[in-house]
Amino acid sequence: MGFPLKEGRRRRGARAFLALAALLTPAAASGQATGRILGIVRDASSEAPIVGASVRLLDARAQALTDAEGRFVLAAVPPGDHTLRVEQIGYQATTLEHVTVHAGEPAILSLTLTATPLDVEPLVVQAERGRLIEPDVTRSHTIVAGEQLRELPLDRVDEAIELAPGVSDGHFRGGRVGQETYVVDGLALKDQLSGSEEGTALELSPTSLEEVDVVTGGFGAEQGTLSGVVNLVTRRGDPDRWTGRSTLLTDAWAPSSMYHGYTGLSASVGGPVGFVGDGSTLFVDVLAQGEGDADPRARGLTCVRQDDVSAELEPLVASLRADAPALYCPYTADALPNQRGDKVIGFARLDRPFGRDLSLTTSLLYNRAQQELYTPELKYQDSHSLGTRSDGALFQAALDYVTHGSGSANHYTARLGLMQLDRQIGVIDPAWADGRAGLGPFSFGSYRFLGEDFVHEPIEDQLRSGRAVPGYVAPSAGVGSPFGPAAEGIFVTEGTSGIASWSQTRFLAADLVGEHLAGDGSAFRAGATGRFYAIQSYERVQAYLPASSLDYARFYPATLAAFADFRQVISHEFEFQFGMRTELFRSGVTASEDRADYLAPEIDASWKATLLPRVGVSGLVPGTDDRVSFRFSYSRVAQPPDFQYFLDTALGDSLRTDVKRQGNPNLGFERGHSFELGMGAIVTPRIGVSVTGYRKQLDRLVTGSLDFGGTETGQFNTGDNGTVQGLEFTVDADLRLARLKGSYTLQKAEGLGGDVFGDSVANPTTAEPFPLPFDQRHAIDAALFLGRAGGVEDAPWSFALTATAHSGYPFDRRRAAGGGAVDSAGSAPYLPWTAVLDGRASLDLGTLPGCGHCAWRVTVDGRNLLGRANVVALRHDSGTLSPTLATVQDLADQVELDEPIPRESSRYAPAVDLDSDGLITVAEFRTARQAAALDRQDPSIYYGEARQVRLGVEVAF
Amino acid sequence: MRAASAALVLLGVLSATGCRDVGAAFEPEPREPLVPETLTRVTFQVAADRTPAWTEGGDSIAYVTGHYQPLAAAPAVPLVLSLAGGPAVRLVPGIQGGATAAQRVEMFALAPGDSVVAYVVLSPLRETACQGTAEVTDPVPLVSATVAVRAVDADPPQASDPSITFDLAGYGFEPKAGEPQGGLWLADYLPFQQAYRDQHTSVLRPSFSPDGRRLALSDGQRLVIWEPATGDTTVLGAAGEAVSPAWSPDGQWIAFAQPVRVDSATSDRIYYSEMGAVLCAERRTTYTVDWSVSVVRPDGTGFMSVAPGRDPAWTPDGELVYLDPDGRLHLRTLGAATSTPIPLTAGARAPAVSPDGRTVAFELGFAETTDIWMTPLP
Repeated sequence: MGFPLKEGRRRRGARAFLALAALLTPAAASGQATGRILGIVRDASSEAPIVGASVRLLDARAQALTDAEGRFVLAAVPPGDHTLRVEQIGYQATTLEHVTVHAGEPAILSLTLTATPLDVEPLVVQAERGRLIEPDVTRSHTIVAGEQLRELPLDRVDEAIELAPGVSDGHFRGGRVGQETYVVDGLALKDQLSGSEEGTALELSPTSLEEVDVVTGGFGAEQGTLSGVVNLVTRRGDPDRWTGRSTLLTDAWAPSSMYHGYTGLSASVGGPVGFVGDGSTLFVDVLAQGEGDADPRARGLTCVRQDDVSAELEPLVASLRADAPALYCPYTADALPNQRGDKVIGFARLDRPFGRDLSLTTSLLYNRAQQELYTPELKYQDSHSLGTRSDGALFQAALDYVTHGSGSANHYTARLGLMQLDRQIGVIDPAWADGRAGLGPFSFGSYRFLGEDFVHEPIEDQLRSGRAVPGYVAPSAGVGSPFGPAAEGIFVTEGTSGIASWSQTRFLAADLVGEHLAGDGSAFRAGATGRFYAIQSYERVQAYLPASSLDYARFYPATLAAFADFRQVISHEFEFQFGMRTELFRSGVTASEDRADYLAPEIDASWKATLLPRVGVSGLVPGTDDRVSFRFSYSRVAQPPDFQYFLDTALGDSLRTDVKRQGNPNLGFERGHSFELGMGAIVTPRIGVSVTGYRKQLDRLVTGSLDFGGTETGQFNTGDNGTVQGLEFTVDADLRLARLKGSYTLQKAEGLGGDVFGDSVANPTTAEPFPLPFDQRHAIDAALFLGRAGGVEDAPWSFALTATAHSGYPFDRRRAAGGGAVDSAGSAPYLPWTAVLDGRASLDLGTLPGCGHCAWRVTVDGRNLLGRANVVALRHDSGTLSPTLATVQDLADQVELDEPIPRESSRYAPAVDLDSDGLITVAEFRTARQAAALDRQDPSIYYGEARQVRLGVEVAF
Repeated sequence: MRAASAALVLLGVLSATGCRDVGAAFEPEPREPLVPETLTRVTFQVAADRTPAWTEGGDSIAYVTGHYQPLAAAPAVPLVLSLAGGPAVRLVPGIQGGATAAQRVEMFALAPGDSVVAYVVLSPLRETACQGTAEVTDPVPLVSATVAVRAVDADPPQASDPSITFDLAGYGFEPKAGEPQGGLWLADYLPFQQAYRDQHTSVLRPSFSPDGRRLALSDGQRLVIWEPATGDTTVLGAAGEAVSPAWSPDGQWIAFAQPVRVDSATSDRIYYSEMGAVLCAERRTTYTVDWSVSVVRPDGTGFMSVAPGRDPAWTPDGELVYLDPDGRLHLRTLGAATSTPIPLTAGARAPAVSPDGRTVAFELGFAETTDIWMTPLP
């Protein structure tokens, strides 16, 4: 029995690709939950159009008739492989298998029927699935199909998104994290409160998805975004039978150097639920994952090694190695301590048709992610760990109404979404941790934080009580580290961290969208959407102090948008797209009219509005034998700023400086213009290439650095501007034994502002170009699929390999702009290149013993297989992995010993008593303090992902 | 059935994962245990650590320190240090808090079972006997002492501890015409005062009877038997001038040190203000003393002089360890004609024998830099 994970098969050469691609049809609109099938039916001998032929899907309810030109449209087709039947009296019925539909895109078919006077068996043919260029698409996008998601070496969907050209570390074409929009089954979803830090709001497991479409340019009018759209389409249950699969992956077997305590259990099942209604299906997916080291780094817990240190620091390191060898790099491990984590993702989707035209889709997504947060100053703290927990749920209901006419279709969708997302950061209650029920790093229950109930009490009560957060204890470090009392002020080994914060985002979303699809490929789509939020944000940074200050906000932002998208096919060769989007938002924050005067009257932030035209054209280049296509698009793009910018906040930027910024409830849109021009070409029937040039002019970016036009220094405003321009080259090869996707991106992202260092600006009126934080000049991404993953249907094995090589981001924007070093000179302005090779291989083992309907296979999954220690950040003070001597000495000098510490003192540490005479002298103390200060500069977090290898078993039925 | 086996295999893999830990957290290096192989130093502080006493189990040594950082205001604090490792902790955490944080608590004794402690609060101390001047001179005589008992882990306020207070001899005022302030302030360094002034000897130290019900103590000149539960006191007048009592393990004897005055010297001194005005006059008397160790029955009978020496302590077998005039600790059987010097104890004071009789702890060093040491008994 073959392993049934790969859904559908491919028969090569069944139909020439170009014959399909030459039929021009309307281009796709991103962010939709369903796709469509467009086609033409002709007589096989005369090539005359066949009028009135019935075209229907055998595995879904869509059915249409061809018009006078033989054209048909099937709308609201679920993504995935479908079987289509074409029938007309006098012709032999034809069944076309494996018609692949992507969400928001048309599947283009050209069919011929053979005239026959007899009632003969239907002819079965296979559709060609691969499309190496898309002459009918005006946008830049990458689709990762569900079957690839299940073959690729990835734990999270965002790892698949990273494979798209122009996406790196969550940055879309040089944009900030959070400038992209995530769309789940048509519903735009984003943690608008702190998207720039957290990205997507809720996570879906890779196995719950039918496909992922990553759009980086040429956005339609339906979505408001600055940098990108990620369209996630979930799976639905098989309407004919129950299917399911379960996977267990673990590194429990691995040697300690590659062991990170990873175990992931994933299961999904779906099938018909006739008792709910005829044709109803249910799909359920669960992912539970635990990690002993939730953020494994290539060099684990490490220290400033001798080969890391700068020349000025070398004498200090040498003296430590000579005088106090036990205190130099006293504690290293392959995994970071206090970094345990786990997550649970649950998803259920119910599809319920009502008759032929109406269907209801409801889904529920649940997330619980929690982990301890490794921080260098807490690495010797074993009684209290800092941790975070997020709990979220999204309920979605969508009502689709579809009517199919002859060569046309209408499709209407009404959608409702409810989301709640809670994030908590604080000190994990040690009593809870001691009694924790779990399996390895996986906790059955949710993390419990010290004083969690207290910090959720009404703020007025908290302020009135004047209490510290219960359970929080002032931090100290007399004992518990290798440096004993010398760690005071450098490490925290007693007491707790002071952080207690939480936030809650709730929103109600409502969308209404309608579209008309014409048989000639033209389409009109329009709709309106609204999001109504309730936000709470709480932060207390010295929670162990009674009456310590706290920041709290509760406000109700809202966004409204309407759009219209029109696509017209001209002369069967070109497509023209015009869209218009209008968007409004208000922060919902009430603020003092004059921030400097607390007695000033309060005002409500006003509504902001913007109008966003989109234009695109695409088609085949004449005279190229239909082998070359082009596309051009222009979009005016905008999005409301992250809601956190409405509030005072400590913002960490790429320079690792946390500067308190003043919130601005009256912020406007972040906006810009986006242009792109792309060409695609068929090199051989199985190799396609494309090149895309783009330029984004960003003229209203949020910044907190400067005073612009009368705003206050340090207040968030939309005063930054910049440009991102680049070239993307892709190659897509669908070879006989393998499939290869590769891309190279050349990019430059530059800002123009007064200064990038904010509050310490000496001359705020000086304008100079500087690299935007995520200016990544070169990026190479490749994915290779072999065996069954590469399309060899009878192969008992499958192999997928992904490789990335990226040049580094600017780690110091002023230095990168040629402005010289801040505190040191001579180091490179950009981070070094990183390269990662991941792979996943599986071998079918046939039928599972004891279960005749089950197939099983074993899998090996490896990350960073080359074991490369990628440097992903450098120190701001030195521009290297090495701290400066001044940094180390300043930290060491903050505390001096006023009297020797005897052996019987609670502060005594044997390791610090270098001569073991029972007394820690002032000199010994200072030596230990220097060692502690050096150890505190632990460069672990400056490294990328560690090498990991996991073994797994997968069972499917 | 086979599916169940497969499920069990999966469960086994998960369980194996659950049993494996990702990198152990840092474990601080422990302090090595103190083993009295030869001469072993117990405390290392650059300040005075004095008067060791063993806990009943013999695994810890209690002592008084002249500097304890968490109680910086207190000139003397009783601590207990486990020989197995770890820091010294307060022996009686419930005292020397709040208003009593600056108390000088010395000369403690542990009752059998270690759950009750007797301690002495020496107060008030003055900078000089001569009132009216802020000039700091030599330590002045002790003025009074309060002996109290307390459960070591008790919570009640210190003031509620059963106690007995003595006004100590040696400090006074003698009216005399013609002197400033109408007389002379007396600083009479009686032998017990002088022993305390020179070496902080535990002259007043209490010592529990083996049943823990009574205490033998000294008011500087006489031995007193005090029963805290009833408050009854008995003065053992027959013993004469006696300090540093030690109740024998069998309860039959109380050993003590007897000062024998050999000579004395008296001097008067006048204190002036910075402007030259006469403030007051002080008369100071000091003594030359020979010490001897004696024993007496708890009822005051059976007095017996044992040997020249001081700081007597009992071994579990009923032998005496004391500081011989030769500057070393000696071991002597009661009634024996000779004693055995204990090696490596030159300069030692205030011996205390471990409950197993194998080790003697003592203080060693200069007045302000004394530490606790220990060495095996021969």
